[in-house]
Amino acid sequence: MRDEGERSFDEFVEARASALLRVAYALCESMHDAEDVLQVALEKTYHHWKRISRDDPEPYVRRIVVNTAISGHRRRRSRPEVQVAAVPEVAVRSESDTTDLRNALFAELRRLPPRQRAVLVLRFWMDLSETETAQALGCSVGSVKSQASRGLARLRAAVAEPAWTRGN
Amino acid sequence: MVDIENQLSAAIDDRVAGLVAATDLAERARRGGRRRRRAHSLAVAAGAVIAIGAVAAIPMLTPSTPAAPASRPLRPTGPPRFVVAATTPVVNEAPAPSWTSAQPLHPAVRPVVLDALTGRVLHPISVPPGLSWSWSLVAAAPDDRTFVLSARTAAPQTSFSFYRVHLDEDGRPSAPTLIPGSVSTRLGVPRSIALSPDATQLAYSSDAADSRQITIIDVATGRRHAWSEPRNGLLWSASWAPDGHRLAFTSEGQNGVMTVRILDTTRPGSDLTAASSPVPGLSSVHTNVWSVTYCPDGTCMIANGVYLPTGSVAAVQVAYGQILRIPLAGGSPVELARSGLGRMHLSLDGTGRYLIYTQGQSITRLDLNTGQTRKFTPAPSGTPRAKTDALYAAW
Repeated sequence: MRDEGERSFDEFVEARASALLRVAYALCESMHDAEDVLQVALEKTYHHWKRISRDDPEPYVRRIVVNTAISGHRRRRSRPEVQVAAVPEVAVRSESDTTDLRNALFAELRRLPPRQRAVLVLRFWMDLSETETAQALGCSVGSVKSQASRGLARLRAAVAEPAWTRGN
Repeated sequence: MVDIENQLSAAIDDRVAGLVAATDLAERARRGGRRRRRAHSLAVAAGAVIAIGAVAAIPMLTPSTPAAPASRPLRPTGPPRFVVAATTPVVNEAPAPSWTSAQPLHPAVRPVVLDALTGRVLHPISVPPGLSWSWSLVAAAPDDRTFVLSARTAAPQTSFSFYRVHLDEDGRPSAPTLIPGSVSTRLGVPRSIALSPDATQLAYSSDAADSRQITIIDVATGRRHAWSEPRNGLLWSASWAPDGHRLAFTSEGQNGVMTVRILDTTRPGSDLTAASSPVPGLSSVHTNVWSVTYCPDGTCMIANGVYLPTGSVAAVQVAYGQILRIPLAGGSPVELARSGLGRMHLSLDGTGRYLIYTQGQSITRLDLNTGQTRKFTPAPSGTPRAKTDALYAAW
């Protein structure tokens, strides 16, 4: 793949990498994981670029990002420890109720099982339909519905009982 | 009861806003080797990119940036929930003064409030007494609740007026409030309207046979100031910068090509040519920029244009429409999505994440973070809509 293919790949990455990084970050547990996921996804994309660039490549790449994030979570579970740059994010009280609420929701989102998290991100942040979400995750629509329902229930519970009050 | 889905979406928005990918990702993917885990370095790099971008933007913006706006911009309330849509009937595009007697070719259609996610019609919008539904343009403030629309006087149809509506949390519009004064069609019909971020100023563009102008109206008093130039050609789109002083607009050049210019509304006088300057960074391959809107942070613009590859002979065969992000600190425009060719109208929501553009009878919603699009065609309200109507929508 040279010339035209290389150029179109460069253009795609330049135009869409930041958006894909945001998707990855919403699915992962840290910025580092998100960057790894994006890097792996783009490597896979590059190898198949000639084929996938004939149509809109973004859904294909997005699917790789989602699946890589989910499978990466499985691998990370076996790691004994993770180095971080800063204190892990926790929900804290703030002046604004809305900020409190959103902090709590995002913190709880990070605690969800990866597939459940992915369903919520795809359905309610990316506005994908249940069918589109099922296609992106390679599962049934019924599974998407049940995962979304359970995930939202956990988030509602987190709002009802904010993270900063738990364990006190 | 917390709207958990919307709050979750907003929570993720808050966290991912401003994330920028490293610039060498394509090269790294090409090399194929897995990136070594370098704790924090890329995060720092990403942050640095944002910081450098912000610093680099300052010299570009400072020279024409006047004092702070008189009042605070209205804040977005989260992802947009409502769209206000209206139509403008298409008449023969003969040069003025035939504009003054131009009559709609079909009955007018009432403006409506739509659900921003599905396009479902929620509520019709009332028009103040003495105005007709015909020739409605729409502009929105960043809060997705405050809107201004235009309407023709009922008879004789030789002038326009503007009115405000405010939506409640269910999208129900308030009774319309007329903005004082009216606009004669002698100087052309309004092509686009734009509401300043603090909702205190309304700008509209208009063009006639021998002149064209941008006019700014004080929404409270109706007091107005106009900048004009003695040329014909379209002034098609207008959008306020977040500072409430600069106004971007698209204008047709003598070669018939649409370009983007910025009007410094603090400049004295009324010479539009002297008070405005072109937007840098658009090359000859990005032609015919019909519509433009400022990003909420003022560092970029979103525009739609026609991409015409250099050296193309069969231009009609290869040209295509683009939604572009134009960085104002320098650098090339970046394609965000592809669109149809031709005229359209853009509206960016107050968060800067969601864009709607209208083309023909459809509204397309584009998530700039994810690239996801959703298209809907609003059901008509009132009388049937002619296929040639131009649809306007804002949030």
